[in-house]
Amino acid sequence: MRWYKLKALMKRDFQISVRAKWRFAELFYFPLSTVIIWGLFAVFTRDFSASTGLMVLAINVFWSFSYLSQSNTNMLMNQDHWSGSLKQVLASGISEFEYISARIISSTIMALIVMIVMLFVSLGFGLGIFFEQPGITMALIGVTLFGSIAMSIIVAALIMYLGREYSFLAWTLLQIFILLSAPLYPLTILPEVLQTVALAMPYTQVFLGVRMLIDVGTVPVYVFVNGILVVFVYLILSIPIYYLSFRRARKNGMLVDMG
Amino acid sequence: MSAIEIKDISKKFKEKGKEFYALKNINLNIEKGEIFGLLGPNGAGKTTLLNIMIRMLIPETGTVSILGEIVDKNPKILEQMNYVSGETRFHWVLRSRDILDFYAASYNLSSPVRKERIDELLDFFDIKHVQYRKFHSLSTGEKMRLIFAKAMLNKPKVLLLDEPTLGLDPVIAISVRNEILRLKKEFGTTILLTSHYMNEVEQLSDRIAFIYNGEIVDIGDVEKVKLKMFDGYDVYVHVKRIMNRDFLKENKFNVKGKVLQRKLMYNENISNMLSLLHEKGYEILDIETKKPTLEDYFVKILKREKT
Repeated sequence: MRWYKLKALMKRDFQISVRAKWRFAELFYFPLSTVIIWGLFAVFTRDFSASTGLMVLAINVFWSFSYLSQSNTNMLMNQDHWSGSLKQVLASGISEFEYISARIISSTIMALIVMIVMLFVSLGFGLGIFFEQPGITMALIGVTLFGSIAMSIIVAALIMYLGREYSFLAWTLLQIFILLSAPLYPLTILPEVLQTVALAMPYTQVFLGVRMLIDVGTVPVYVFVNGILVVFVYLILSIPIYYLSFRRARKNGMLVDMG
Repeated sequence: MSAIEIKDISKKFKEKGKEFYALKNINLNIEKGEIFGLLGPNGAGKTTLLNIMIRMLIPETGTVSILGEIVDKNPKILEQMNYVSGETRFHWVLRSRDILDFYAASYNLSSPVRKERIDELLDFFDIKHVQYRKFHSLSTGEKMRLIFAKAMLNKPKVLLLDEPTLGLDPVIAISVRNEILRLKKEFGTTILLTSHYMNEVEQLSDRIAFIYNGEIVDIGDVEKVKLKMFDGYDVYVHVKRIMNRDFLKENKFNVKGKVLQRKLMYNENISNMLSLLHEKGYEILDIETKKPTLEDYFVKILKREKT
């Protein structure tokens, strides 16, 4: 992994995000409007159901963060497919791992900036627990981030495997994982068979932790341990999957089609 | 050591459940400083070969070595080469200078060197006035010049050009061709070129290879491959008046108006033919020769391969 290649790609990612107005708007527009919508809901429900609104707001903050950190990585890659510049990028000697790593780092930085803004905006709606428990908050952000990194590598591998027609997976696939991660409800609400599936989802423990934090003000260690274990498995699996998909795409000509 | 060494490259693809070979046992050595033209009809396998050279494709068998390094084993060698295609695109929102800056940084040029090199290339390719314009807003000619500027950033020792003048107007195409010749002359760059414009290949290439159905069916110096395919050329002699038709028929002259046309074999001497006409009393006004072009060669070899 060569740092100068990563640095060049990251600088380019930021330039694209700033120069493509729709990308810049997308980065902030959806997460912040979501926070405002659910923030207002939290204000509305404050009098008759003290923590329900805040819980929905807090979950939405993490939902948006997980979505943003994953989809942004894959969207940055999609941009290369759509603009037809992938071939030139790779022909300059950038390896498949440098290519995705730079995107993950750029995306993480962008997502963290948006997350900080979201946390401050949600503070305005009475969601102060994240500032009162900075250690727990950072741990939750960390698990979410690693889950999203693993998901972005898996999505990149899938797009590489299935072809550019499937680039929509960049902004759609995560939703099914969120649904199965029991974001706004406990696992027990899901049918029994889905409860097992939910345990294997990368964000289940994060959402459980956020709900606990709002409900009781703390999160037991086992939630983080379980979360890290699941995310670790995803990360371990995602790297060879990505490598093999990339290799397959180079073998069957899919990579050329994408460039 | 050759600049480019292609050994036993085969590549197959699957289409509608059927496998077919896009390249079959390709062997090619291109010497340092040489301009090598790769000819062939659409779908012959030229671009597939270039894609293998830049690691966009993995071959079934064989290796590509650039400057002695096997590309697949040492991808770092890609930093010593560059690739230009007539279909090259950059991200549409990036400005010309951003694009050059990104590639220069990815070739590990330090910030001051980068700036100097970019300024130099913007000047050279006469695109300084569009350095802060986004790629999508550039004209076709400006885009092509930017693509060439990008290709020169790392002062490549090997340059792959895939249809570099595709869709360009003649004026820009001429400047691109001049640029290619300058690279060879001033920097000794080894160039592998594919093009459907035969006059371009003929003008630029030292040697050519003809690919058909994934196989190299002919290779050699431009003049020599034409000699192999054609045993002679046409001579047109404009005369004041036609006389002695039997003599003309005997000596294989065709008559069109006041023009005598005859195919002259390469081992024949044109002055002998002209002396003969002179002896018979012909007053010669003008002489034209039409030697086979690379386009004639292309058509003839393609016809041969098809049959």
